Amino acid sequence: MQIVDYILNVLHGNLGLDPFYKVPVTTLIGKYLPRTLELVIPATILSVVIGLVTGAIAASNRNKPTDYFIRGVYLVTWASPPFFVATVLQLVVAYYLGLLPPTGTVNPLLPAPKDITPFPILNAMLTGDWSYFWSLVHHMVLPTISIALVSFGIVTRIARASMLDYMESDFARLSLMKGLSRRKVVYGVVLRNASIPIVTLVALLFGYSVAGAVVIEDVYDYHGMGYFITQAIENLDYTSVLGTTIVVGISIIIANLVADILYGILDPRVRVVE
Amino acid sequence: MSKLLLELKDLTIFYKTLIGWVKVVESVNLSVDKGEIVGVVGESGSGKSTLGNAIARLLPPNSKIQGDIMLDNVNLAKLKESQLQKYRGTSVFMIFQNPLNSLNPVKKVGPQLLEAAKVRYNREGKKVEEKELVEETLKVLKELRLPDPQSIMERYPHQLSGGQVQRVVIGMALLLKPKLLIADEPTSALDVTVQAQVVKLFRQLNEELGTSIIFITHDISLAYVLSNRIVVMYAGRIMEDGDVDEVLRKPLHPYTQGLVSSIPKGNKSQNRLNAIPGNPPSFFVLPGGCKFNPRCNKVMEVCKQKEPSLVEKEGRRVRCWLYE
Amino acid sequence: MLKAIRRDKGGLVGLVIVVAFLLWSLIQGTLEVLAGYLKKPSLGYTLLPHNPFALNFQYSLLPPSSRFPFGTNANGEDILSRILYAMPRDAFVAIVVVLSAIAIGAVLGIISGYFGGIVDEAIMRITDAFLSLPALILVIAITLPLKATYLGTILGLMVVWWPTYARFFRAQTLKVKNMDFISAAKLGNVSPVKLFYSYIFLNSIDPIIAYATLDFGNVILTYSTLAFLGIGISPPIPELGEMAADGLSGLPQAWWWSVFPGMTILIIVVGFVLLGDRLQDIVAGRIAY
Ligand SMILES: Nc1ncnc2c1ncn2[C@@H]1O[C@H](COP(=O)(O)OP(=O)(O)O)[C@@H](O)[C@H]1O
Ligand code: SF4
Ligand SMILES: [Mg+2]
Repeated sequence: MQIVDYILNVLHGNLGLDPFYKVPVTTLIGKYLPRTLELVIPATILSVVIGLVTGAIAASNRNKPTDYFIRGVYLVTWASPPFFVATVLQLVVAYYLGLLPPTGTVNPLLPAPKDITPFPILNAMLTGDWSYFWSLVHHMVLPTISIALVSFGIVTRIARASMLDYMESDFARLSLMKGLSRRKVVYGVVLRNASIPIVTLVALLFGYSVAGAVVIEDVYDYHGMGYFITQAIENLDYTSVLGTTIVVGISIIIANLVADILYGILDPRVRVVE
Repeated sequence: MSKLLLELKDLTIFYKTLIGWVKVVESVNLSVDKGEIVGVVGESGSGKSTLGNAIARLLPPNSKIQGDIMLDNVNLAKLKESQLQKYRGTSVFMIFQNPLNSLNPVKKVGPQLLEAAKVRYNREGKKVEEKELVEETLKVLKELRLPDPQSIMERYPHQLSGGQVQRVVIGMALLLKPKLLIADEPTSALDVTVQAQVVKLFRQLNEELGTSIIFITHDISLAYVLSNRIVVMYAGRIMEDGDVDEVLRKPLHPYTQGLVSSIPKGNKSQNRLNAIPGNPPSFFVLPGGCKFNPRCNKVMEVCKQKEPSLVEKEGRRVRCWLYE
Repeated sequence: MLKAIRRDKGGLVGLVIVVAFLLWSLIQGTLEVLAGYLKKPSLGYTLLPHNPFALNFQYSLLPPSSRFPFGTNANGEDILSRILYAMPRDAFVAIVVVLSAIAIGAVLGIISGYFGGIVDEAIMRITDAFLSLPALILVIAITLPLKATYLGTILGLMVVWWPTYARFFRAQTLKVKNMDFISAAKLGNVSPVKLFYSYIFLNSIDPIIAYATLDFGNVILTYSTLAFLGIGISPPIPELGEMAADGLSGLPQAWWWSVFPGMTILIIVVGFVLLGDRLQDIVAGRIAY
């Protein structure tokens, strides 16, 4: 009845002991998960923004070169394995151009600030340790962009399709009829409406980004959940992998809640009437 | 100063479909004077909305137009999308068929109306305070008999009834004061009492501002109430065009005769165009000769061979072999 | 159908890539199986430019050249030959996983739609749960107790891949269920089972083919990502994702080691997506515009 024991333990917030480090899995996840969230949350926001903007540009230039170009770009990023996108960015931006560090989580020579929160970046801000802060940011940029690049395509695709739908809508046409500029109608009226269905994608996108992060962290040698899970795979450490799965599941449920709240903010039709 | 406002010259409109390009409006020649109200009548599918949308240059992307749309000496048909903006709103304004989706669902009604007022002032080159705009808008809403205008401005479109949305859209027309208003079945989604109010508003707009109106409807009795002139369309063609009283009193074209005789006497709420047997033809397989010949009760041999042209007759225009 | 694909450049490119990939996988895969069967490993390399397992440190980390078009890895093995050798395994995973997903999805979806009630509720809950969790992480959790072998990974993918198809077949079933009375009454003596079967079947083939085409690409993407993490590989047999992972140790100088395997996956997946998109457009009747 191991499984029953395990479930009871999980319900008590106990995910078992890591067989190698001999520490509770929750402790390890508590250490690595915040670092991954520091990548995944900005990446999710970034992919929504990139997706909406490119979707809008593509839709308003339907079947013109710009549209084909954007569709081509998202096709390629969408069909790319996450590690490939990360590798190419690392090669070009970090190794050849030398703009950002190719690997690591933070400059190892800097002493870590005090653990006030589980999030290193918040700790650096709270303690005013700005050199540590900037080192973290420098190491986060490439992984974050890589994650956003592999996931924005789905947003572009859906945003473009719903923009095209809404462009034919009576309210978009009436806005043109009123004498508003096409620009204002496309980016003010149509995009604003088309962003509503995108919100329902946020949770899905978040999950997708977490999966992408696992692989992308490996390329950048960034020590978050990706590092934790690759270690667990090498050691065939089942306890840690199961614990990770449960935690990822919980964070996706939370992402769903956030999406619901956003939906209520963006769409007056579902807002509770005072 | 000439009286002519709008002149359509050989306006022909196509849609691209699965099978290819279909011609939905064929060589329409039509002029509308300043201050005139023209009722465009015909069964559903006869191309009325297509014609209206073409004048407003708001046809869907799968369409193409030929011919000229001269509005105040500007050929709208030849303008690019980017050049159209300065004519939309103040020169032409259109109220769409089924207006219920005409307002942006995520924006409050007030700002949507204010945008319209701002457009007009910008075109007139006047600078006005936000406060003045709000006052003017409130005044318009009051004229429209909308209860509690202040709170209407603060509401979202889904919090209004269909009739209220319709009046808000008409309110935009009042704020924009266009030279030409195209109203496409503006009352078909409304109940009868609201219908009468809306018709009154159009007349008011016409009388007070001199706005010309193209009033599109499938209901010839409604067109009669409002219009000075009636244009009857069938299969994308003008079949008859003349003064409203004369057309109603003595319709020349057999199709118009059918429409007129279908007006129920007495009970006015039951007016449906069901008196003419048969259905309008499909644009993919139009009959040869006169497009109305399969349903016409006066059909002759020539009607099946050659299509009649639109000829002057007794001060109006009619397309029928009986009059050539 | 072919004519409609050919009229679109993207669809045509997709078709060429997909056919080339599948054809190569079939031929090379047959040779590899035969080689194992006849205990004659060299048979598996006959079509390749080099022996993919030839350790030769003299040729270690050579950049792309006419002799080694994609360069060599640290062991001096030819990267192009290793890529070509690896392809049939990806094709096999994709075909097995997608076909099993269609089969499982059809059974569960039809049961769910037909019986409704608590059965439907249960199946749809599982479907939702599977769809909201990233497939990659689920498969890792499933295959790890199976020691993350090639077959274990295929099994893991099979377990998580059916939900989209279950939803599709459930929707189809509900559609028939609602018109069942009318058509059954009209047709009189036709058995409902037969009606059901032929209706769902006929109406599902086209959309399923279109979606499955796209989905082959998704499976290959997920599988190669798993291989990158060291799951579902059987050394010394090369695998595209695993090669890309190994190649990281050669960065930045020996960029070809990691980049070419990654690019190969990209091209294959692009092929499936282009073709699948085109097929979906055709099925949905969107092309004529
Ligand atoms: N976007 C479109 N694409 C193709 N055909 C259209 C489109 N819009 C309208 N039609 C066709 O054009 C014809 C005329 O339609 P419409 O102008 O709406 O007529 P009415 O307003 O008189 O009812 C109809 O046969 C209709 O099916
Ligand atoms: S032309 Fe002939 S068919 Fe056509 S309306 Fe006149 S009489 Fe009827
Ligand atoms: Mg209409």
